[in-house]
Amino acid sequence: MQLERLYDEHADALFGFLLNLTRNEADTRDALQEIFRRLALRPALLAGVRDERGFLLRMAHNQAVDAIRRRAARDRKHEFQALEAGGLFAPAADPDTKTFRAALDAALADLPPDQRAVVHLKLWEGLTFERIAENLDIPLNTAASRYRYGLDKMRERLRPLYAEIKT
Amino acid sequence: MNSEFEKKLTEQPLQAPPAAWRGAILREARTAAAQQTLATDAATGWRSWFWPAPRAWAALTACWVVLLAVQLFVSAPAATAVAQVDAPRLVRALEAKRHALLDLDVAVVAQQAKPAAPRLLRGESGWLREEKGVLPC
Repeated sequence: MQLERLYDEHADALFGFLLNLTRNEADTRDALQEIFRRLALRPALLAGVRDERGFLLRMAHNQAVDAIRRRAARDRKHEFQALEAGGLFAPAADPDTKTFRAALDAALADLPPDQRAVVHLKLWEGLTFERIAENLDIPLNTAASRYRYGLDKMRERLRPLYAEIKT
Repeated sequence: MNSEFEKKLTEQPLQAPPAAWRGAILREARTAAAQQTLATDAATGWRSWFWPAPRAWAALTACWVVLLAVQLFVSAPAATAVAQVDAPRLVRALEAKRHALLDLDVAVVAQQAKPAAPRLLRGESGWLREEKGVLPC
């Protein structure tokens, strides 16, 4: 029951985070599987943990880093490829929204994984820099600067499209 | 979250994991946990057998260690003493055995030096004596 509850409460967030970092659905599936396998093997893993989501996101980050390293060894070009199928964002009916989401997906794919992780946690998990730094095991200032660099790059890249949507 | 641009990004909903994953992932996780439990049970089986009386097992082990030590302590000097006392007798016995073997060797050589016994040869019409040409009975 505990495992089902954890899946129902956190799988969406973990999936989005993993998919954004690995940019690969098979790697995301493997990483998600590994997280829940570990939770099943050691049910006491979350005992005494105040922030379940933060703990699981940290596990997901570690899994994603491993997956990226493994994949990089196999395919050096992977990091510069956008998602092949499905996409990171939910499908949209409106063509403008659809275009914007596709462009956003591509812009995220162009960020280095370090910046992408911080941007994701800040924008789609709503975490503070302090929590991001804690979860990714990096200094607070590093988390903040990675976010600014990442956001600037995305703003630059999405500027024409964003301006068009706004007007 | 301060700029309009950031707000716009945040509004984009992320894709949910495929529905089929839930069952498969949870099932695989449970299978892994069950396999580990079986392996752990085998290990704890031995532990549960030994654990109820750890002092008794420790005492038994200590007894064995003491017995072994005593055995080694007693047998080592005795063996040395026996070897020292019996050495001349052993040498004499070996010498006698060597003489006996030499005698036996001489007898065998003498036996081989005798002329060979008449052999049976196989002729066209059966067995024949080599020397006299007698048919066998």
